[in-house]
Amino acid sequence: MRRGLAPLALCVLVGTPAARSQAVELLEHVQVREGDRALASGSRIEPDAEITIQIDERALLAALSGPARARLSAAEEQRLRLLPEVFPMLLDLERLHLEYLRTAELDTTTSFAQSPALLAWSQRSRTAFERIDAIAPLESQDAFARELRKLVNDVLLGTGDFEAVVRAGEAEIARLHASLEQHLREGGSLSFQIRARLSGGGGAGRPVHVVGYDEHAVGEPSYVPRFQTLLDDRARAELEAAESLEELVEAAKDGTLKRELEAARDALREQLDVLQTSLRSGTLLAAVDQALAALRTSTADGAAALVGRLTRLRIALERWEGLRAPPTSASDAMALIAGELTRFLDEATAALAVLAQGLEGLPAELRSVLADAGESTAQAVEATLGALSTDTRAAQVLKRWEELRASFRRARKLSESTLALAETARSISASETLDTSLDLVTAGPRSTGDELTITFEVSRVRPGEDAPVEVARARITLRLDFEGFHSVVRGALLFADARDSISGDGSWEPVPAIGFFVHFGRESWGSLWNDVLDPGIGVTLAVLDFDDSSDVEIGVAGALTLFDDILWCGYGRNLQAEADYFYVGINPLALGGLWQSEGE
Amino acid sequence: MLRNTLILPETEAVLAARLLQDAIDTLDIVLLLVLGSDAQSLQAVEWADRLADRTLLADGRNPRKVVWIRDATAAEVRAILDGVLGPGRTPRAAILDFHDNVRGELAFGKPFDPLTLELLFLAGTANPVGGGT
Repeated sequence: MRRGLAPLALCVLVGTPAARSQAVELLEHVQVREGDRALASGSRIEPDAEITIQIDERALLAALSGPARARLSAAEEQRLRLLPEVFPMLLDLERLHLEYLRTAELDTTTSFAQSPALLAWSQRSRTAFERIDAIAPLESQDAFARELRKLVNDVLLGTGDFEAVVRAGEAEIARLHASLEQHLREGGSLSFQIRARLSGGGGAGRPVHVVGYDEHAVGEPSYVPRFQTLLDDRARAELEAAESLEELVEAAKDGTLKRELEAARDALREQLDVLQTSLRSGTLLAAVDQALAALRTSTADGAAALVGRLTRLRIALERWEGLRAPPTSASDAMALIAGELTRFLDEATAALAVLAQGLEGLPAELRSVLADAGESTAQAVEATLGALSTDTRAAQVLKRWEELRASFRRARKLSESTLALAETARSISASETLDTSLDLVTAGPRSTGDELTITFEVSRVRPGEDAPVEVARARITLRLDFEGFHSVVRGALLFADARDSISGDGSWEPVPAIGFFVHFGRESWGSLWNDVLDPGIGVTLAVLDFDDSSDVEIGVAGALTLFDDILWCGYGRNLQAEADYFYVGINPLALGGLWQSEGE
Repeated sequence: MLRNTLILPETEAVLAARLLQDAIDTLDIVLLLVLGSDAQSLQAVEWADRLADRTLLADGRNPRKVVWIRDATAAEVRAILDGVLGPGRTPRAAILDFHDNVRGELAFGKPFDPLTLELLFLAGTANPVGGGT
């Protein structure tokens, strides 16, 4: 928060009655900066940036103080709005007046009517004094209005100065603000929370320490050089991913992969059959159907509710039955990679979850209904109960499932609690600054293209209530990137096609490669250039295999990349085989990142 | 002592009219006309004179000038005022800009203070040459 007169900008959002009804836009009161540059969502920041966050506490309080603000009179609201505007004007008048006197005395040839200095001073004075006239009308009976008017008149008649006017205005604003705070306290305490996360290459990312708002550990300072030729951790991982993909592609080419996947699919089918038998879903389905038929005619207490529950259970059982066989049409191995298998496993897991939920506590409920049921109902329900309780294998599966679910819940809760403990919500007060900063240098590994997400949240706890209620929330996302030129080393899988006659198979050979690329970013060129196309130019080195007689073949090529180095293409020469080649390529790690959802 | 004020004689209407016309014709000043001889007008003149000091240069030049017209009823003076202010108009004070256009008035009976008069003066100089109010 800027000290001096600027904090008194409390009025900025007090505004009109119409503005009161609008939701609080947190970002209107928060300034995120890198140095002198104001940042907005989508802005690019240097990977070593120190981000400062400035919060206009008074304006925020004023914006959040709808009911409290309503207790101010129209005149007081007007003061809160106009006084901070007029302070800098008044202090500026001294300078403008001196400027007029100096220029007019030095230049006796220019008329007053043509004097820019006189015009500027007059216009600024008029604006400021009209504000004063509105804040303190001549005939006002209000003590502050009379005092303000008198102080301004003293200045005009040469017996006072503007600083006395400003001091009186500050005191009045402080008084009004104290009144607002008092009303706010009656309405509950407000707290402010800032969280920051750094994410790149998919995933939810990791927390970044925000000074004063959390206790997340910071790492040793690590600088990201603008130009680097080192094979860093990311480039190494990209190379490993390319090597794995190369094996996969080779396996797909010679049929190994297809055989392996088919074997895996068969094994999965076998395992699912075992699971199916363990659950005895077929037996359960028949028993549930019998119980449903009986319960629909029953008048026993709770029978209707149980019908609904058993119906849902039946749907889950049917779905599970339908999932008995994994996909058989996926004869093409690549189709399985493309997601058919993944979809199947997701559906099976979801069905099992619904099933487990449906069975939870069911025996106890069935027993309670059974106590009041008629004979036929009782028999049907007994059958269901028997299927549920006597099948120990199904019970074991469900028990195991419940254990897994419970441990998952515990882990999630623990992690949420840990995070919550490490974070600090700070009370909003006009007298204490909420400003903070975060330093990316201590945020651990990061790369260009990573995203820094900063979340702001305001909560209110009313007297007598335990849980805070979220009042406002806002988020900005910044992209780490260099302004101007920067270089990166990346890894990728290339498909090289020989352009000269060779002894080996040089037709679109998959080969891992590393590349050194130069990118040029400029924020003013927009998102399409910087975030989507993000072209790079450079050179690649690849280990080729064109010539059957050579042990080692190195290819050097010029390269162009697009989409943050996901797609590569280029033309080069195999130095040992003395053959030119063209290639296209992909960065499998970056490509995989595209499929990661934000919420992961 | 009134340093920036021309007080028109009440007993010599012709002279008063000529002095008023000369003041209006003087180039490169904004002119605050104060009408009337009551205590309120005297107070207005005293304040306006001091406010004119704010633009007074060391060499004596000043874009602000005050003319106190104690008797605005004399026919010769009235004729000039009618031409400047409009027929029959008699405000407590009026400001003429560099081009003798009326840029603001203070009505008789209306309360005023130095700030009111300063706003009148500023209305005369705060408009670009040839610009509107």
